[in-house]
Amino acid sequence: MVTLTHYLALSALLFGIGAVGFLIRRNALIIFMCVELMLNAAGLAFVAASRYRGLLEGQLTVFFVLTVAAAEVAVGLALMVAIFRTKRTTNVDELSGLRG
Amino acid sequence: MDALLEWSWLIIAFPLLGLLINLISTGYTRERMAGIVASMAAAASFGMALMVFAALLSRPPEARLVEVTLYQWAIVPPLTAEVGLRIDPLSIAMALIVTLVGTLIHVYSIGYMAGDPHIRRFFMFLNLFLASMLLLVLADNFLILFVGWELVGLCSYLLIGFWFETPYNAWAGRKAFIVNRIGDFGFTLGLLLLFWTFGTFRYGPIFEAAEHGAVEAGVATLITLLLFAGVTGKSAQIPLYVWLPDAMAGPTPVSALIHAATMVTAGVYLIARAHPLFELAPLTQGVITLVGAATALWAALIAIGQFDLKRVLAFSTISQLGYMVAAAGAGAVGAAIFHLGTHAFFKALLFLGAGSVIHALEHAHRHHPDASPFDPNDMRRMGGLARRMPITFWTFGIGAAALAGLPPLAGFWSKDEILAALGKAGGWTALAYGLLVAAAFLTAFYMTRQVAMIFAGAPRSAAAGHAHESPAVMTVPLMIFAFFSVGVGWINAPGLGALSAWLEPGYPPVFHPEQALLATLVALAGIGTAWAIYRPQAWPEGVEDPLRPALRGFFTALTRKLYVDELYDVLFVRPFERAARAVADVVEPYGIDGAVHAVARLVGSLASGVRRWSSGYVRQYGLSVLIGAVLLVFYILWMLR
Repeated sequence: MVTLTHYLALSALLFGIGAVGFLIRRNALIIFMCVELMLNAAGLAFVAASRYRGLLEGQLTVFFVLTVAAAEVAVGLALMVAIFRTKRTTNVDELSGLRG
Repeated sequence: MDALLEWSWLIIAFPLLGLLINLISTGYTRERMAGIVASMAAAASFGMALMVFAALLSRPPEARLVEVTLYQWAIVPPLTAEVGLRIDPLSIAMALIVTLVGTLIHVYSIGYMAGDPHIRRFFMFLNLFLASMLLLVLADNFLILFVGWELVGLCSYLLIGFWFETPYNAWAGRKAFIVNRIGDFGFTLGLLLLFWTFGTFRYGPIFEAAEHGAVEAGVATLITLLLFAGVTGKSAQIPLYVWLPDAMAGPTPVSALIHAATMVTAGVYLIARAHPLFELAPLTQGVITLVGAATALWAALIAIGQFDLKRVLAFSTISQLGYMVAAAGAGAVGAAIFHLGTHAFFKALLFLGAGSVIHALEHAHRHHPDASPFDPNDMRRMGGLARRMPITFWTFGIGAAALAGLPPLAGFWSKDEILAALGKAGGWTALAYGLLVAAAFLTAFYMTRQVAMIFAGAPRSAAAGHAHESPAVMTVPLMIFAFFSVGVGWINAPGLGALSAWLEPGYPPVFHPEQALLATLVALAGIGTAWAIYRPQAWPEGVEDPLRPALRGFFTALTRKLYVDELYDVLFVRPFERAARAVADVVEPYGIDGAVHAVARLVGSLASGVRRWSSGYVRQYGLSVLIGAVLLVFYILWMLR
């Protein structure tokens, strides 16, 4: 029997992987993928809770999350391409020009 | 005919149209066209005013009031600001004077300003002035009147400083503007108090309420005194008259139109327009009458000691405005407007005649320069122009005689009506009457002096010796004005009384034969005294002014305008400049700059503490976000416990 707890645990696990990946990886593309992982973990939690409680709002929220994620990826990838063209790197540690 | 009245806004629209045409055709038409366009716009405005006048005349006297609402400007309860016109005998009489004098001066300017590189700008300002003045005159509420009031002030500033390459001219424009601001401060307060008291700016409801006694005498006194502060500025009365002599820095047609015939009479018009209010405040009326009479005498006195021919006329204008203000203050509104009308014609004539003299002298100087410094306005360097400029001489002479009040010229009738109106009252008004009679003597004196200095005797400079008559475009308006200066007085002569019947039906003009005889004798005495002193035979060669040895130090004081400018300089201008200097030297660097720099330093020191967190590494930012999110989750859990 798969209960809500299983789903939430999976969601937390995915979110944790995403967060850790975001913090330790240097490649900007991988960081993006980690962000996507976190977004989808949150989406999974929404859908599971929505199903469990019999409400539609959670599923609706996921649609928004997906839309925002798509937009974010479009902008983010475009930025990445632009940065790579000028800096010849996608290593985020080398992109620290905004240091105060 | 009534449909025509609905279109009376065209009176204002025509000059604006002229301005617009000149504005957008810049570079497409020849500069000479600007004057023709502007003159046609002014003439169209005059024609429209005539038609509205005819439409109004065809109505019975009690129905001669039409209010035309044009536009709702702003509605912010309780304030409803509407642009509307009030077509009634007073406003149309003013509109006719303004447009007729304005049109003639526009035509004259074509000749006077010919060859000026900025002639288009000149005519655009002139058209703008005409529209603003007509807005002032035709408005149906105090708010729009104030808009027109300020717009004519702006035009005055722009035109006084028209030749701003000379620093003095620009300074004179500023002086006129600032002195008027002082009066307008009082005017604005008066308007606010008016609105506070009556809840509206419209003439109709205000005057109705005033006539039904809905306002306390104290409030009415305060309102009218504040409005009168504006009048002292705009109509050049004591203590704010000092700007008008310097306003002569503008081109002569401007002096004739704005600073003699129309704009400066706006104050008289205001008192006449709001006379139901002023009649509630006897104290204000007394103040106005005395201030007007004192101004009339004071300015006439200073005029005697002036050598600049336009300045003599400027002080004469101040003096004559004093007559009008005194009459309007004493409640003799009809007499005030009558004198306003006649004065507009003969003073415009005098200024245009002066312009003709100046024009001729400048022209002669160009061809026959002499070594001494040249000032075409200096009467000490004129003389003997009667033979060389006969038309200018005769027309100027007619204007001078009209101003001096010789019968049967225009000035005689109107000045006499003012004196008759003031003479019958007692108390303080009797004092004002005495002042005005003395001013009448001085008026005749300084005008004779001026005519003698310019036209009689032998030329006192090479330029005066080679002067020639001005072109027809200038002399024809002179002759038209001379015709009016002779004839316009008859519109309100006793027995006819057309103006009185128009303005105040049922009140024929006052006329006392013994009063008229006295005024004529006073004028003749003034002319005789002046001629005895200034006739060429009595005037030895090389003497600057025969009056100087007779009056000695007092004459010097007169030439220095009785030191009023110096007094104001010491009392107001210099302390103000010192205060401004103190603000610039102390408050600015230590107060304002100090505060700004302190804030900047504070932000800087705070930022240097925070900047360490801004490492530029994305992972660090991410960690901060994560920690923040975790803290937030724990906080929410703690809140939900």
